[in-house]
Amino acid sequence: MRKLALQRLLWWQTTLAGGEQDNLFAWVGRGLIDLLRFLGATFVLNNRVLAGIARGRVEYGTTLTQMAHVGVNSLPIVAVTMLFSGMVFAYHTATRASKLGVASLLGWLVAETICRELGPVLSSIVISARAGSAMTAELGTMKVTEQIDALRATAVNPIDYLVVPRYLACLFMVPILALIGDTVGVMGGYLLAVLMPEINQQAYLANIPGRLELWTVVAGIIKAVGFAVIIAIVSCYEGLSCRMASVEVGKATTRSVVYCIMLIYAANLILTTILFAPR
Amino acid sequence: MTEAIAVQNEEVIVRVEDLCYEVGGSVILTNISFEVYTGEVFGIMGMSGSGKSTLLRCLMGLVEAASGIIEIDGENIAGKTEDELNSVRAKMGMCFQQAALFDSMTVADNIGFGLKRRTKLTRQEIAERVEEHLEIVGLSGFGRYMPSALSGGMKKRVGVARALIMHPKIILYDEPTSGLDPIIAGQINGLILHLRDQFETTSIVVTHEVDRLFAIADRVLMLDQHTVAACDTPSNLLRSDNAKLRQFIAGDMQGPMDAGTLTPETAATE
Repeated sequence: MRKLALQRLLWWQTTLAGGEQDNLFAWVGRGLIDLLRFLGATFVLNNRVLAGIARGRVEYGTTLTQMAHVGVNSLPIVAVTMLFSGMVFAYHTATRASKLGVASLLGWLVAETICRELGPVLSSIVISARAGSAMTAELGTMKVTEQIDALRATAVNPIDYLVVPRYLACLFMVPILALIGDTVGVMGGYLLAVLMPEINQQAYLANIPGRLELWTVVAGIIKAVGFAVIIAIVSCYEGLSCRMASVEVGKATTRSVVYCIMLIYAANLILTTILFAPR
Repeated sequence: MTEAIAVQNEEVIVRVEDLCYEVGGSVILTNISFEVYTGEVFGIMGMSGSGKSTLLRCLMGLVEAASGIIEIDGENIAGKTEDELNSVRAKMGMCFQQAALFDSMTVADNIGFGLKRRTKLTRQEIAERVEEHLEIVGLSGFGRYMPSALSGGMKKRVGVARALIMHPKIILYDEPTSGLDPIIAGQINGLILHLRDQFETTSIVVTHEVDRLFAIADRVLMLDQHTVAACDTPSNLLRSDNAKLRQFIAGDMQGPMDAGTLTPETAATE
């Protein structure tokens, strides 16, 4: 048994490390160093972007274009995602709520959950896949084709010119999309209530205004602002740090979506514990 | 005539001293030292992977040297921040090997980009300057085209126009005539000489094309094994006894330089 476990450990070592000479500790250590390097580099990029904004180096035209890319173009997918998520969530809750005798609270339960969690998190994940990946691919292609170097050679700071507009676009549009997502999600639940005779439609809507606190909606929006920073910084960082080969653009794009999703979930836990701490 | 100019004007505009550049543990440039004078056409040649393009990128501050001094117009660029470098870069222009045009902009917007960003010219004035420079590079009427609609040679000419339009003191050319037909290549070389004669623009030209380079350069530096193998006027280089230099100029397959001297570890990678 011990021999088998040892063999498995050795297999893990060689498979994960990708070589006979490395061991599991080296692999974990390298991963940790890479993670710290990534977090450090994105932190530095975020500071440079904030410094650019503070100095008033904002490209208004480009920012508006990026707002259209992030906001208008992501709206359909955010709406569809939230509509069906709201309907599915309402369906599950309705069947359980009926058994517990609290079916009249369905509207409030759906609205509370969507505004607290589903709206900001799902909308941000969809935006990172739709708009964040596009940002990484665009900046990565610019890097590979030396357009970023051409910008620098023209004495233009690529962070001010490329990252600041995308950062501001995310900062404005992600919370707005999250709010729209909240509304569409709640309306999705209402649509289900209309379709299911056992749910009281009037009660669904009537319970929301009295029970749903404004802070719940505001806190959800604050979360979306945090996720917007993650989407903008991670997507732009991955694009700008793309290595000089076209295949790397694809890898950077995949990495940016994966990192965005992981960081959004991690940040969601932190923000939830801060914003919804027991009072 | 070209040598006369080099001798007449000895005001140093670019000074490189003991420049070393490494990437990922590989040495790309080591102990590079040379000076370029104002209004000079300075050529850089060498085998593929010898570090010519990397040297240009060091001069532009696009990559940071591991050690050494790079002085542009009296300012050492080592250790400068991106914003500080931009004030130095404002005196320079660069033509990239693959043109590096902004593919989301039209040809006219590409050429006028620097003017729009760094001057207070009106839209009309910028349009006029752009059209003038399109004419210089033989692309009149192509302003509204997107870069994707142009051939490789045309893109390169747009890249040249983009670098010229700001009238920089120093222009760095990375393979400006490779991939161009002889007539357009001659036109670009004529333009480099015209800029020198009319505006005292300093040109640093990286190329493999020895004949073309010797026709326009006041002095030529040869890189070999990541360091300076020779630096002199074309006529002196042609008279040199340096076996590697003679082989490179003649383009002989046999000699002290062969592809075997270049390994993946030692080749300059971008």
